[in-house]
Amino acid sequence: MNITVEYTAQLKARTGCSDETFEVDSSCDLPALFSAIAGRHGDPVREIVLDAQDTPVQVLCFVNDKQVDWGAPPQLAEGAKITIMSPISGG
Amino acid sequence: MTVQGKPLTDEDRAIYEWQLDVPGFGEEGQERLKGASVLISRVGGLGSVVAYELAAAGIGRLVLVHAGNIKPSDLNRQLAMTHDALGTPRVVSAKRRLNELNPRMSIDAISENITDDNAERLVGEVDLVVDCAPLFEERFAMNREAVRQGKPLVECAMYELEAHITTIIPGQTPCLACLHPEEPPAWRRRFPVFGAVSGTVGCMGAMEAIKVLGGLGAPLAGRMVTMDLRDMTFRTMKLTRNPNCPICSHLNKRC
Ligand SMILES: [Zn+2]
Repeated sequence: MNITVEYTAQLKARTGCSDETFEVDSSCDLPALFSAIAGRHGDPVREIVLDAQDTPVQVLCFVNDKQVDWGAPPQLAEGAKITIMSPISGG
Repeated sequence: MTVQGKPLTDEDRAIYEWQLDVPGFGEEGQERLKGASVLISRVGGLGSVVAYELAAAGIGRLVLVHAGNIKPSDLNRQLAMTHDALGTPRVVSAKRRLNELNPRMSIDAISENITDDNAERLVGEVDLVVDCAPLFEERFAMNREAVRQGKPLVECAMYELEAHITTIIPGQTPCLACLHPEEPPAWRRRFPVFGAVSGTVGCMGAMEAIKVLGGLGAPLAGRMVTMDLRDMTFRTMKLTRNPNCPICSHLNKRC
């Protein structure tokens, strides 16, 4: 299935795009998608989306504009749009 | 929220007459602003502008929290700092600049950053907090105290030409820990940004504070505005509480 992933801030800078498509198996869940994102873009992106144990960092994330509850991540379906809000701060 | 208003003087009425005509605000809203106090941490690119707009709007008291002295690299965005004050404490420069605009208000200039040790005391001094801090540990300490004390917290953040803002009302909206359950491992203290970006979101942060304190409009409660000024895209995302949030899930009203 095809999934569209949108990025903001640091993730946009490090992936070099504001959105892109991933073709994944129909069993792909959110943790598997985060691994696929890290796999495509390498360490600069991996360190934002995965922790040292390769589990997803619980960033603010939306699936079809609905905020992800990391305690119960939603299933992904064909055509889903994932928005990953790269954590930012003041200064 | 309930802020005890303070009566206006004739000088106040003369200074604020343009905003006294705003529907839903009026003399009552201005009295509430005059009676209100706001903690701003820190007074950098965002916080300088939040503080300046609140000073202009007639806030009664500001508590400015920011450690350190002014560096050349502050001057592209920290509008409460001045070139002639390079090397001197940031909060002293900020207080002087704000008092030039509004000598009637009271300003506590505290040359420290928010920590687990001082958050309870500093949040306890005010009616509302505006988070303009760069480090997640400071932000989490402020969030924890704001939730515990039931104080509204305006959250501003930025990166490059992007920014976002939301307003946390403890017990009604998600708190910062609902949005970021853990400290982001890859966040760095220094990042690219223009002063016009921090200034944009700083003005929005001040407006949120004015709305919450003055009792007008619809604050960004449970909503986050995200913006990318590179292409002027603005979006509003609905936020939800984390039912297992260790900071706020014990407060029962859901948004
Ligand atoms: Zn929470």
